[in-house]
Amino acid sequence: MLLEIKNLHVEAEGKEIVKGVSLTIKDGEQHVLMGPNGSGKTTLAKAIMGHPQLKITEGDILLDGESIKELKPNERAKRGIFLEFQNPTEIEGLGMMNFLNTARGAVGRTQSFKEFMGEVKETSERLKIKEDLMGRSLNHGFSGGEKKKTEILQMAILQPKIAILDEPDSGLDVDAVKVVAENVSAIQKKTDAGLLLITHYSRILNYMEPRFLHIMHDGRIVREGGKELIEDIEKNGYQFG
Amino acid sequence: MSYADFVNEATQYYQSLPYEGNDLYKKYSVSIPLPEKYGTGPDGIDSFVDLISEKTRIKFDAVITDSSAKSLNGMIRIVKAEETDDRVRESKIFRSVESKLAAYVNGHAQYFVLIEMPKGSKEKFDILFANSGSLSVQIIVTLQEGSGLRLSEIYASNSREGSTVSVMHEISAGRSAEVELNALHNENEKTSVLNLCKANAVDGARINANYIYCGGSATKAVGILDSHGHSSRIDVTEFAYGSVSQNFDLNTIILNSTPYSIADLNSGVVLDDASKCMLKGFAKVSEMAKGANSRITERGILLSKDAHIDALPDMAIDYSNEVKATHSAATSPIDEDALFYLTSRGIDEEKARKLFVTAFIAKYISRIDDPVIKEIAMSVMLDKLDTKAFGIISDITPRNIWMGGSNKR
Repeated sequence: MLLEIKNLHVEAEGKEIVKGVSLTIKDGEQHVLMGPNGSGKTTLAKAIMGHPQLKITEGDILLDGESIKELKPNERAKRGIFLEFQNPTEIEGLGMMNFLNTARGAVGRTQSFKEFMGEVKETSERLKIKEDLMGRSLNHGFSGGEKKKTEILQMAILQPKIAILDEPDSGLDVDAVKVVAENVSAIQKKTDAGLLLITHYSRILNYMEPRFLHIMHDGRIVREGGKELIEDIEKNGYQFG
Repeated sequence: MSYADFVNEATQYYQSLPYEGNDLYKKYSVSIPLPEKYGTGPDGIDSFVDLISEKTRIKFDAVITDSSAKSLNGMIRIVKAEETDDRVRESKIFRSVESKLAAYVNGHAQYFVLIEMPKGSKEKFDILFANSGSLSVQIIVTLQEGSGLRLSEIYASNSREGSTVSVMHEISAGRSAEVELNALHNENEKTSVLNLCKANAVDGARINANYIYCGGSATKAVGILDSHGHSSRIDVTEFAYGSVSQNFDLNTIILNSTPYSIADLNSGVVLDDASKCMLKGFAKVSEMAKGANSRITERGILLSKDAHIDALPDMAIDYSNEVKATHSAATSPIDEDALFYLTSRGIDEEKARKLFVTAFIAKYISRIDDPVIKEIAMSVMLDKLDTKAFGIISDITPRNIWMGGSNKR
């Protein structure tokens, strides 16, 4: 699957946040998007997913050559796009398993319920998610790390073709970062999904092999390169004009 | 006679316990008809009772209608109004000075239901209240030391003309006694509901009261629940789901009267169409209540631009140190961020909305410990969510949402 973002301009509450971003993500590719706070990374991620309060004023988002910018979020998810949320919503009263089961049905995963349960159990173990979390309400009362891990669990269950991970490493301890990174890579390898990883820290990249690194500033991608950019950023900062 | 006849009186009963005399509460108030006479409505109540019994699959311990009352359990004593003696009449702890509504129900009750739990005994009872005409009942529950009771009540009506169901609970929980009261009100659109409760928990006792309202054209509830003994605990959950033009006026007062007592009021509302609800939770922490914990939480979801919630949580704290006291209220339409989250997982918007509201409802229904009444309450809510209908229950049959098995007792 091919995701093409072409000269995308996005407004939130009348203010332009994303100011002409272009990006292409192919099957199996790992892309990393970095940049200072407020540079528009999360807005870009939400716009790709179709957040109803964001307005695309110019440009387009193409999936396998077809524009998806008019599609609702659920329609984009059904076509294989997944967004890991920086701050996942808590919904007390909605059971984790009920939610996961509903979501996997919605995106068309047709494995039997028994297979689904097995997949959840196996992935939870790999992610070191406490067993009792699956019996609780969606993200309700979860720690920051638990939320991040259950987002990756959702990615594993929904098996997207394009996964956008918005800071999956923030708030995680060293061990958890490794667990999350290794699981993301494993899921990606299994599904051959294209990946856009948004992060502030290079630590997670020690466990991944991104070929493409993009630096965003003030709504635009201002630098691009390979993993070698990380060392430069670590040493010299973002160095904006 | 109407509720307004009472509230227009100038008398202020308690400054610190807002009640029907309080000006603010008078402003946010629902009037319901209070009949002079109660009695038998149109025929057909027996078949209606059979229908409810069949659908719920509950073998009720007592069935009380506007035309008859029958107890199938020796521990539930039902006394007709004309057969009461002074002892029954005056056993009430809900003094008339606190509420003329209480005096009204006491004076008009057709039946007095008396449940007395002996020391150390444990029981669970299911009672069905069904009416075609107006029905008035006073229920007096006394728990002796260390006893336990789970009392679950289902209210349903097939009234074809305007009728009123007025019910008053008086619950007295003795030392270390535990009582769970579950009341599911699903009367039809021709019925108004007056629900009063006075409960009192002494040392180490616990009262867990759960009121679910989804029927009746107008519902007025007044409760005073007193955590009255050292380390006693009161938990009250009230939940209303309204549609069409239903009105709810829920006025619950929780009291911390003694040291280390706990009183917790959780109110939840979901309103659709042009329905309205007033939440008037009030907490009073007395000067004797060192180490007490008091909490009021009021939450509401509006599904329609014409629906309306007035949330008025309030507190009076006489002992200002060493107590925990919090109150909060929040009402809003369905959270847009939550909808985005759910739809980003492939779930269509309509289903996402339903999931969100169902989750909100489940949060309150799950506080009911009785597995059967919990299933029935949730099934009724889901049915209402699907159809917006209220009143005679089109699908009261438990859906095994939590239980995953047979609900037969």
